[in-house]
Amino acid sequence: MQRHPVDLLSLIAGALVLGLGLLLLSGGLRGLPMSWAGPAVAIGLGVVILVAARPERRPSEDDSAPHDEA
Amino acid sequence: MIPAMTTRDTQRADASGRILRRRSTDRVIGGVAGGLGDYFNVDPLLLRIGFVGLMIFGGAGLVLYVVAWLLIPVEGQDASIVEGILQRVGLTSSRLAWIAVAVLAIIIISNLSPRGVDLSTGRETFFFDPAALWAVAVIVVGFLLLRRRETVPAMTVVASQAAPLATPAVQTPPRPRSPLGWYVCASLLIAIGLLAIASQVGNVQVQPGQFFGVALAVIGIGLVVGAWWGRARILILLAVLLVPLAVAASFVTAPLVGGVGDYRYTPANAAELHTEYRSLAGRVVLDLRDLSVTSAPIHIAASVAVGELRVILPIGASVRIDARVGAGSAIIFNSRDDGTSLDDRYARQHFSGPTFILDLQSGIGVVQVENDENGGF
Repeated sequence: MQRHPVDLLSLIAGALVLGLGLLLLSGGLRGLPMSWAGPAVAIGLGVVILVAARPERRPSEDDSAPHDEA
Repeated sequence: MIPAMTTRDTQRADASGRILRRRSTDRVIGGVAGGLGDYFNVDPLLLRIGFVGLMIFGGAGLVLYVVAWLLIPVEGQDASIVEGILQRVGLTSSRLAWIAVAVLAIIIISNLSPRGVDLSTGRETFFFDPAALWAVAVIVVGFLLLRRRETVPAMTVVASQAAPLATPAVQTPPRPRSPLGWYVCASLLIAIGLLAIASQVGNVQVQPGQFFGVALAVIGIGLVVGAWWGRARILILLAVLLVPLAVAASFVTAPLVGGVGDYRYTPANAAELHTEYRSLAGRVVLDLRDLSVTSAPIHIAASVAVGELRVILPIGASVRIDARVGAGSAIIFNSRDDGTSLDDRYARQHFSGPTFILDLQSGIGVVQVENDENGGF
């Protein structure tokens, strides 16, 4: 697998999914008050949409210019 | 494979030069999975498995496939099938999207019932309804997505007009496919298998929600890894599909044993009475009214993983009830409790008649105990 610049969408979605997975694994979801579930989902979804909707940085000419290997 | 680019494609292509098109060659049915695989840089086989899986479980895969086939243009074409039809009748996709958002907003708002009576003053007033939050969220997200969709191509057109002699867009070769998605799928299956073995060998009770928890944790780790090495954004889609199932499964704490369907038990004597009644899904009615009276306390454990459990007691019976519901309702005689993680206890003592000690469970559904049956099935 090749290394690439950080992909924020994958990072944040991964962190959210990992957190929920660990919560389910520990059985902690049943103890949480369900009145918080709606707002939590809304905030999580909002963060992911914000990250997904941000303008992507296009590679500039400087980036594409070959680097001197001196 | 590199999809052929049309005039409009050069404006729509993302930074990596890829455009979303259905394959016209090297495809199985409509080229949807192949096209999505090319665009998201994942193996189309993975997507085909996903579509087939969703077709088997509820048929959503077929709907998604047909929708994608209608909305994604084929290679070498400017417009999708739907866009072609809309252009013929004079409706642009942007206008149609605005209409859809407006209709959705009207439907949601018309279904809100914010009015109520303030008990302290007795006057009719407005209350905040949580559904309003979702309505506003849907409208705002729709608005933002539409604005984004409308502004990006316009800017691209201006840029292309300002530099008419600019060199034509150069197709960049697609990145080599990342095996990360496969690694995660394999790890997910191995992790679930190991957890199942551990639960049997170690005699540990593992709940269905915990299996989903492992699956989501592995997907989450895969996504975090994919933030720097390889790419597997398709895992986000997999996670989105799994989350509702995982949350629902986390409330299923009743034993996953028994059959599926509606069952009715009417034991008349001790020989016909079982100490356990289990059902995986459906409705169980345990009618104890005809049970011949015994002096010893009668212990009964009954559970329905997903569904309704109803116990009908003879009038004048003494009872000790422990009713647990993951998500749903517990109705003990005239007392009703709704919500999640319910654990209701009830005791009633009579000096004559049998004594029942009931351990009742429903993962998602209803536990109901009553004296008289009102109807039945």
